[in-house]
This record gives sequence, C-alpha cells and structure tokens, in this order.
Amino acid sequence: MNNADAVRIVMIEDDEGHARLIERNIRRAGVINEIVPFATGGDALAYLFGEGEPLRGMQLLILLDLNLPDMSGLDILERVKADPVLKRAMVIVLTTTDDPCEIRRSYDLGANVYVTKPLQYDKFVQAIQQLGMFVSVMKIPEAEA
Amino acid sequence: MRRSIPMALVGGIALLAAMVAASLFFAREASRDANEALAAVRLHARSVQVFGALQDAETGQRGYLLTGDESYLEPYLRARSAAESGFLSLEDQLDDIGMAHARIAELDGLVRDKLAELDSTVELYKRGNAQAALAVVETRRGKELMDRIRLVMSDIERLGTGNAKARVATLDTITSWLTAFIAVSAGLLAIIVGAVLHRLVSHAVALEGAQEALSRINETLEEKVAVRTEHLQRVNAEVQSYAYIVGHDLRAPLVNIMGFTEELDRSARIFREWLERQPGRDDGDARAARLAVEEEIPEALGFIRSSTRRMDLLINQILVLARAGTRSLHAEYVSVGSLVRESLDSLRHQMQERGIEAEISGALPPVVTDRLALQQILGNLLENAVKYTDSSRKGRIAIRGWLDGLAVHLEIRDNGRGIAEKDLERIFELFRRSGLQDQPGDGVGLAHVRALARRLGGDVKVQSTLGEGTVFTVTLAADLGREQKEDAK
Repeated sequence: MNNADAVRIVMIEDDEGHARLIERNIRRAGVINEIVPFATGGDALAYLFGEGEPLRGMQLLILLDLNLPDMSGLDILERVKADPVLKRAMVIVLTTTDDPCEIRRSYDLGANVYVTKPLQYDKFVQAIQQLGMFVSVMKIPEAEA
Repeated sequence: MRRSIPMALVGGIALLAAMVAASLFFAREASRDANEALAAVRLHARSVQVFGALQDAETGQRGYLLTGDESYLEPYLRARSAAESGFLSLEDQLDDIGMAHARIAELDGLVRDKLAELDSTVELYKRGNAQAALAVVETRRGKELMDRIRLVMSDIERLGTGNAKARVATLDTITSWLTAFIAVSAGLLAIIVGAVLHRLVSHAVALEGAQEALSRINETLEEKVAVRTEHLQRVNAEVQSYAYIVGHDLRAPLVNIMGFTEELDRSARIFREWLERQPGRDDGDARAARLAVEEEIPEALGFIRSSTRRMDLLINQILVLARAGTRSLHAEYVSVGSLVRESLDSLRHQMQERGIEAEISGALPPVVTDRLALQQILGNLLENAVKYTDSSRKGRIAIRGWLDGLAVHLEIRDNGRGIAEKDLERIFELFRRSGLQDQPGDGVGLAHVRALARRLGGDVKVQSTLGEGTVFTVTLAADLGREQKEDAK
C-alpha cells in the first residue's frame, strides 16, 4: 500500500463538473491519494515539465481529457510518452467520445487505458471506482531520472 | 460555310473544263482558218506559176516562129504541158475558193483555145507554112486570149487574197476571243481560288479560335470543378468538424447533467432515508418534505434522465452519420441478390408476424461497391417496408433491379401506408418522421440511406401515394472503384 500512497493523481480536465464527479467518485472508492487538478493543457504541461516542481521520485497517474480548450489531450499524451522520465507515468484517457479513431490514436501514443465517460451514471461510477481500485493495487514505477 | 468551299471547287472545275473545251474549239477553228488561208495563198502562187508556164509556152512559140530554130520547141513543149496540166489541177481548187463555175469554165475554154492557137501555129510552121503561122499570130487572137486569161488570173488573185485575208481576220477574231475568254476565265478562277483560300483561311482561323475557346472553357471548367470539389471538401470537413463538436462538446454538458442528476438522486435518497427515520413527525412540513423526496424529486429526476438519454441517443446517431461520411469505402464485387436475401432473413421474424411477403423479381444486377454501405441502405429500406405496413391488406414487398449504363437502380416497392406528398422530401432529413408515429424509430434511417447512396455515386428517390404504397429507388455507380479512380485523377 506504500506504493499506492505515493501515487500522485494528475487530473487534466477542463470541465469543472466532470472534474468534480471524477474526484467524488474516486474518493468514494476509497482512494485517498493526492489529486492535482488542471483545467488547461498549458497549466498541466507547465506542471509536468516545469523546472520548479520536482516530480522526481513521484509515481504519477495522469487522468487525461482529450478535449481541452487550449490543445488536444493527445498532444499532452504524446509529450508525456516521449519524455524519458514521464513515460513511466500511467495515463488514463477519460473522454466523452467513443470515436474509434481517437481510441486507436490514444493507444498508439501509449495511453494505458481509454475510458469513455458514459452517460449512464452507474457505468460512470463503476468505471471511476474500478479506476480507484486499480490505483490502490497497481504498481507504478517511480519516475526516476 | 461548310458547303461553300465544295461548291466553289465544283464551279472552278466546271470553269476549267469550259476553258479547255473552248480552247480546243478555238484551236480547231484557228487551225482550219489558218489552213484555208494558207491554201488560198498557195493557190494564188500556183496560179501565178501556171500562168507563167503558159507565158513560157507562148515565148517558146514566138521564138520558134520568128527564128525557126528547133531549140525553141523543146521549152515550148515542156511549158505547154506544164501549163495544161497546171490549169487542169487548178480548176478543182478554184471551186474551193468560191470562184463561179461559169468563170472556171470560161478559163478552161480560154486556156484550151490558147493552147490550140499555140499548137496550130507551131504545126503550120513545122509544115513549112511560116506565113500562115505568122498570119495566125497577126490576127492578135493569141494576145486577146492571153489578156482574158490574165483577167481571170487577177480574179483568182483577188479571190485568193480576199479569202486569205478573211481567214486571217477570222483567225484574229478567234484568237482575240480565245484570249478574252482565257483572261476572263483566269480572272474568275483567280476569284474562286481567292475566295476558297479566304474561306479556308478564315475557316482555319475560326477553327483555331474555337479550339482556343474550347480549351479555355475546358480549363475554366476544370478550374470550376476543382473549385467546386474543394468547396465540397471544405463543406464536408466542416460537417465532420461539426459532428466532432457535437460529439465532444454537446456530450460534455450532458455528462454533467447526468452525473449531477445522480448526485442529486443520491442526496435525495439520503434525505429520504433520514425522513423515514423520523416517523414521529407528521405535520404539514413533514408531509410536504416526504412528497418532495418520494414523488416530486424522483419524477423530476426521471424526466431529466429520460431526456438526457434521448439527447445522448440523438448525438450518437449524428456521430454514426458523420462517421459514415468519413469512413473510407472499399469497392468490391457485391452480389445484390444475396445482400437483399440476407437483409430479408434478418427481418424474417417481423415479416412472419405481420404476414408480409417479399419477392425478388428476376436477377438483380451485380455491382462493384462498398458492401457495408449497400447493406445498410438495403437493410434500412427493407426494414421501413416491413415496419410501415397498412393493416387493411396483406403486406407485399417487391424488389427489382436493373443496370442502366454506368448506374445500377434498385427498386423496393411496398403496398404499405404510403407517405403524404408534403412529407416526401422531409423524410430524408435527420430526425424527421412522417405519418402515424406508431413504430419505434428515431428519424435517422433515411437520412443515413441518402448520405450513403450519395457516397456510393448515386442517390435515393421516393414515389408514394398515401394509403397505397411507396417505391424507393436507389441509384448506385455500377463500378464504384472506377468512379473513385476517376475522382482521384
């Protein structure tokens, strides 16, 4: 469980409501890890690739919305997976469409999981809570230099 | 324009032929006239010669009579016979130059008399009767004869010269005519050739101009097609991006509505459970609160849920259509007959339930097209035919197809309830339905069919009479692969 405790969740989601729903359900699933939210791609990139915040030694889980106001989440995914350190971060793509092209592209770029935000709330809750369970049992390699 | 050149050529050839014929005619005339002129001159020369021979004979006779020298006899005899035969041969020709017969006979008589006079004197002298011979000469009869012959000779000369002159004048006239005719013909020919050349040149220039115009039109046409295609592609891309926006951006608030509806539900449930644990309270407030959490809130949430579900469904349908528009088509050989039978098989259960019979008349033409798209088209149309029946009669569906040039037409005819005329266009619009809404459906099928048929290089048309039945006719490119190749060019 030490691993799970150390996992920091980076949520990149522009829709406040979605962010709130995701957070609530993650918490309800019993996940207590720190969640760092970002509403724009720019802020998220500044955090991930910024000089100031030392992410070294952190285990990261990135919850990524693809439809961001300032860029496509796919761009962030591409940069994260191209980074020698950040590429070890787990990336869960959470988005509204089930467009097969987008799903394929996400996996091609190295997304670990692709989750469609379902409109049936029970399914949504289920997906998020499974995610929570996932977070609590998974082992994410530490982001080392 | 097109006819004038051959006509000018025919005219030119006719003119040339006339020139040749006229030249031949004039040349023959000229040669005849020249011959006649020559003959007249020759006749004159000959008559002078013959008359000379007669004079020679007379000279010989005089010499002999004066000297008695026998040596004069020999030239006398030679000249005499030359004159005699000469005059004989001359007489025939004199007729030709138009000398009167009486005059010819006169000449003949004169010559004979003259020769007889010469002969008689020479004979008298030979017999030794010189005096008698000289007496004959002294009668001056010989001189008189010679003078008369000379008169005739001058007549001959006048006639011959006149004839020659006339002939030469005719020749001159003929030559003038010929020259004039040739000049006029040459002028005409030059005009014709000039006109033809002008026509040809202007024709060539016009042709060149037309060709240029045509190639310009072609170019602008290609340009126009390219512009149009680009425009269409832009519109298509725009539609796709709209679809994407609809997919993403309309769904995002929906997720919130749905999510927070459930959150509300959850909160209401907590509240309800708490209220249930307060059985002691039964005042007005408590009853109102119970009514709210037990009926009003669940009812409101129910409406919100069903509406969001409906909205989600519509968004999904739009996405399906948008994706159908971008899916790359795969042209392959498709047996339309087996595709129709597959579609009917999947509807078998409903058809049996409603007692519908379907019949495929004749062989359906095979096409090279996108199998999935055609399957969706046929499936939708057949499903509609099965769904919208008229319960007053036994349902019948007739399917037929035919090849027409580069297009294949497929017709699905039913005897169902039909579509009102005002709705015939509307049914192809997205989310629009017509008639009695007693069948499940979301108004997407025919919009999809039309979009697909157009992508397959065709379209879909409908004819219908309300209460009698409907005919849908789908047109497709018979060979989609070729169409795509041509489009790619």
